[in-house]
Amino acid sequence: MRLTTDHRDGVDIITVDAARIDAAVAIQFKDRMREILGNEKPRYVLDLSQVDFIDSSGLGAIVAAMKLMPRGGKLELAGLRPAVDKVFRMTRMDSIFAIHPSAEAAASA
Amino acid sequence: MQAERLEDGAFQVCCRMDSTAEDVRATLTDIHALLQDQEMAPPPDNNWELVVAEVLNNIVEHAYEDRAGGDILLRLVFAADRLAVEFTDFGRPMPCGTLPFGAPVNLDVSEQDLPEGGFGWFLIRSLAENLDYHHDGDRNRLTLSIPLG
Repeated sequence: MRLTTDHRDGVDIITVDAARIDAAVAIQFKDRMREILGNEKPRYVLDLSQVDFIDSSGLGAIVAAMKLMPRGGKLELAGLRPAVDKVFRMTRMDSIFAIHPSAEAAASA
Repeated sequence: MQAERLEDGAFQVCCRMDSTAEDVRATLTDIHALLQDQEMAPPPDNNWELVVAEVLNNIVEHAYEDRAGGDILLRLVFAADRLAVEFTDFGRPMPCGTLPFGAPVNLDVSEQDLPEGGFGWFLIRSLAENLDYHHDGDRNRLTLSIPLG
């Protein structure tokens, strides 16, 4: 599970360089997010545009990552592909996260 | 993994995997690759893959309590508008012998109390139909169907 970070247009973007966030990688994902979020920036955007499958373990891992943000900090999401978007909508987790069409859109938001 | 075209035109896939999240992932990825070569590939919304993944993950986590070395058998029959799935495992039976209700999670809580799990059966019940579960001798058998397209 590779996550890369980039500072673009004043926003810290974390890109998931993987096609799946599932039960097989949920723990790795959480551990890697913990390392990155430990830098305590107030706002991160998680770019999911390469992810075409997420299961409930992957969803839980993203929720767990959000809780690692410092008080008042925001973890936002960008680039949800249809199958990923559907899981967020069905579980109503789309009401919990700010969701942007793309990392670029998030940077200008 | 065995795949064949049945007389009625449906595409059947049968496979066996070990009770690990890694083997579940490898199996789903292999089925994906198989379907890409078939004319009857399911639509791109991939509901079927989510349902099958959630059931398999539950078998690994609960029936086999996250221990490798358990057999899981999977049979998928892709017809034109419907996928029929049969899951067989030899792990612990479902508590009370019935499938979980799958209630939606409660999001009306503080951020730190948001649920990180408990979505699986809600997703399965939202997307699948005709769920039937039996514990018979040493095996659990779950069948369900998923509308395609």
